[in-house]
Formats: sequence, C-alpha cells, structure tokens
Amino acid sequence: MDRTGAWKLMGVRLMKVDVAIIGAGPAGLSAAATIAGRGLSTAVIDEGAEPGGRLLGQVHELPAADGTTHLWNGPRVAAELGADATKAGARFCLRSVVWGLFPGWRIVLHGQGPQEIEARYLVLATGAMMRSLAVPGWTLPGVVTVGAAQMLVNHHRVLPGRRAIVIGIDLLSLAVAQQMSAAGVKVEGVVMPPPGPLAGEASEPKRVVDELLRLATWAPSSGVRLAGRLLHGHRASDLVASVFPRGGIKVWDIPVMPRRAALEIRGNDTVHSVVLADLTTAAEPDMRTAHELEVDVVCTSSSLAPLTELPEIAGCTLSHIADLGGYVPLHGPALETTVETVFVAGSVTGVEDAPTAILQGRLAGDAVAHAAGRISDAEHHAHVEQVQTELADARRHALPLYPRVREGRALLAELWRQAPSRGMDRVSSKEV
Amino acid sequence: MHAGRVQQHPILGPLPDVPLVTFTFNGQPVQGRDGESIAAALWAAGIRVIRYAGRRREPRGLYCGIGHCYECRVTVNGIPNLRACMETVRANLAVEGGPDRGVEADGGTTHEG
Repeated sequence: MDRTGAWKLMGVRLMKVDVAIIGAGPAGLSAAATIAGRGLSTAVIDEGAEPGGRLLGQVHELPAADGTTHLWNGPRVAAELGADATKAGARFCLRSVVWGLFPGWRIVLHGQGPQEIEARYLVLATGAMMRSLAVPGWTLPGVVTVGAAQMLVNHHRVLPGRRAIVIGIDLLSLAVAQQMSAAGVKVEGVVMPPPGPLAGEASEPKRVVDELLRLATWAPSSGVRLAGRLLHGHRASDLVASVFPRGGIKVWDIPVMPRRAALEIRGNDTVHSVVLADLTTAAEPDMRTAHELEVDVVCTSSSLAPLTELPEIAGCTLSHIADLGGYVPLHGPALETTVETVFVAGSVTGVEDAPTAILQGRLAGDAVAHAAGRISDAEHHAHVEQVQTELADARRHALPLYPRVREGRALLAELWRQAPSRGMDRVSSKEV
Repeated sequence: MHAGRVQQHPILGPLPDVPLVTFTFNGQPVQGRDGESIAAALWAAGIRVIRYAGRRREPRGLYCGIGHCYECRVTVNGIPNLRACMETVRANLAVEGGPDRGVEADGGTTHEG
C-alpha cells in the first residue's frame, strides 16, 4: 500500500479534491493518470486492498492481430497503470467503500482512508459484476463464479479444487477453464446450465454452438487458437447443434459440451457431485442419460452486468442496451453523462475488455480536464477523435464477450443524440 | 478436498515468497499468506464453509470472490459482517463465521439471511 501513498491519508477526515474517481480498475487508473497529469487534484477510491480491480485476476493468452498470441499479464498492467497515476500525482483511498453520494459532490466512505471526499467532478468506473446462475445447489460452499475461480488461481494462487466442472459455455468460462486446467485442476467439462426460464438463451444448444462457431471463426485472425482446437477434425458445417457430439469436443483438451447440462449440484456441507444429463434436440434433459459426476468445485458462468448504482444515485439517465449487458448510463462520445459533472469509463458503460477500459479512462480523463478548463476545445476534440479511432481499432481486433457490442454502442450513440433532456428517467431501448 | 496452492503458475512462474501468518477461524489456528484475503487463506487451508445461514442453517462460503455477493460474511476481531473475500489476513486476527443472529432473532422472517 505504501507505493500508492494511501498511508498518507490515514487519520484524515475530509479530503477536498478537484476530481474523485470511483473504481481503481483499468478505466479508473488510466483516467487518474490523465486527470492528475493535467494538474487537477485527484482521488481514486476503491474497496480493494490494492489497485487493479479485475486486472488482478486476468492472466491469459490473447490472440494478436497478426495471428500470433501474446500474453496478457493483468497484474503487471495494473502495477504500471497504478505507478503512472501515482507519478502524475493521484492519491489513492483503498479499502474504502462508498456508501453515500450527495450532490456537490460529497462522497461518504467507510474504510481506512478519509471518511468524506468533496469533489467538483466524478469519474464513475465501477465496472461490472457477474449475474448469478441459479442451479439447484448453487449456494453450497465449493460453488463459485468463474470470476472467483480466476481470482483464486491467478491472484491468490489457490487451487480451486482437484476436479472441477464449469457450468455455462461462453468466452469467459472457456478462458477460466483453460487457466484452471493449466494450473493443475482436472476440468471434467464445460457444460450447459439446466434448461428453464432462469437460464434463458444460455441453455439453448443451438445458440451456444453458434456462439462457439463465432469464437472459432472470428475474423480476421484473432480466434486462431480456439479455432484450431475447436475445428480440428471437424468441418464448420458439421458443428450444428443437432449433430454436435454428445460428449462434446475438446478445446484445449477440455471437453466442451453444448448438448449436456448440469441439472443439480449435490453435497452436504460442501460440493460433492453434479448431476449431468444430455439435452434432446428440443433442449430438454433426457433423464435416461442422467448421471452423477464427483467433483470438488463447480464454477458457474453467466452474463456480466454493469454496476450502475452510483451513476443512478448521481442522477444519470440510464438506458437498457441488452448488447452492452443491461442498463448503462447514457453517455456521449467523450464519456460525458446526462449530469454535467459526471463522467463514466470502463465496463459500467457496457461490458468490454480491459484494453478498451484503459482507452475509455483516457477519454473520460480528457473530458474532465476539458470541463475543468485545463485543455482547449480544439485540443479536446482532437483527442476525442483520436481515442475514438483507437477504440474502434481495438474493438475490431478484440474478441468481445458480447457478440453485438458494436451494435449496442451504435444504439447508445443514437439514444445520446436523441436525448431530450437531462433527468432521472430511464430510457429503454425497447421504447425507441 | 484440500487442493492447496498453485505452486508453479504456467504464466506467472513459481509462488512468490510471502511471510506466513497465523490467525484463528472459529478458534482454530489457520495459516495464510500475509496480505491475502481471509477467504483465499481459508480455501487454501481446506476450509470452505464460512457460516450457516437462515432458519435451515444452510452452509455458505466464498461465491463471487470480488465483494459483491456478501455470502462470505465473517466477524473479524469483533467487527461483524465483513467480507472474507475483501478483508486481508494479518497475524493474530480472530475470525469467526457469520454472525447470522439477526435472522434467528426475528423468528426467521428474513429470507435465508
């Protein structure tokens, strides 16, 4: 904590700054460096013990634009972004939970730093959280989200278990299954959630197979690693849901089974087993195939939801954009919101990856510096255009968690153009 | 059940040296790596049940791992309702699971605590 200077704040009750940034993930950290770099006093607030947010658990190989792969070392990126922000003069309030936000802005905290922060501008970089996947038995100790499993393996260096099953087939669950496997966990398979209204589309084999094919054939070259494994020995045209092998196909040597679902998780005090069954072509479990598989950890994966409580409390208009993960604060091209002194960055604006969040942090930081009169209109507009170009480029090469993120962004831009007034009403994309 | 540590990480390499500290969980000594989360230390020690919730005393433990779900609530040095996934391990901490007294006290009207 010393390297972030947080110790200097011990015992301080009220802290006055130009800008408060809530969330010390990739977006908040890059916004902090940009804003403090313009000479504005900046506080970065996070409830974690160290800066980085979800970066701390992200250690994986990413497909590169040139067809090769490169390592993504989240903890290292977090350390670099944190050092940049500190060097620029940003101050950190870690282990601090925001429990109140009042116009002015007054931010009320619980934690080891100041109890209250007064700021002229806010950057809300709160990120996203994983929705729960309701499988019978999901509250048993030993059932964790894939996000928790990722933090255990990569951040805490704790083995989640010896034998694991992963429920929910998507990009994130496949990545975490691979990370667990590489760390020494025997991953018995990545299977579907139980069919039913709670699981929705994620329990339809056809949709999941389509999603796998999207991942496998992602243009131009980003998906090579997955494609090579997924399509090995198969023609893409063979991999339709109705003939997809019941036993799944192996991706990174892990069986991925869009035609098998977990029906129940069993155990007394902790996870002991999971009940699996094949799905019929009508996406119903074939109970004749039901069987029990012993595992000591179950990882569940569902969609991610932007964490919009603080933008909502601040009075920002929210819009429902399913392709961005749900409700997001309505925002403009410079990440300004419907509330003049509030800016947003990162997954709270729509669920995307860390490189995108870092660029968005720069963009929001620049917008704050402009609002505070630290940079001219001309310079600001040039920056917005430049970072927007970089964002578009990053999105072309990224393998998005949400397949239609670009459509979601376009819809949001349209809603922003149409925004009639500033207020607290929720504008639903369904109403447009 | 006791799966232990990722000694050799495929990308990050060998487990870094971090001082071990001893704290107690429900009175029993547990060793953790200084500064890691209480939840991580408990999991590495093979302890998964953190508390028993609600009228049916259902076991609960680490779930989301990032401070959102509040399933891993513990009492640390007498301060109740802290999240084991957010609180860090230090020597001589006294950690207890729960409490879930609020649920019992009101006759179980709260949904599963």
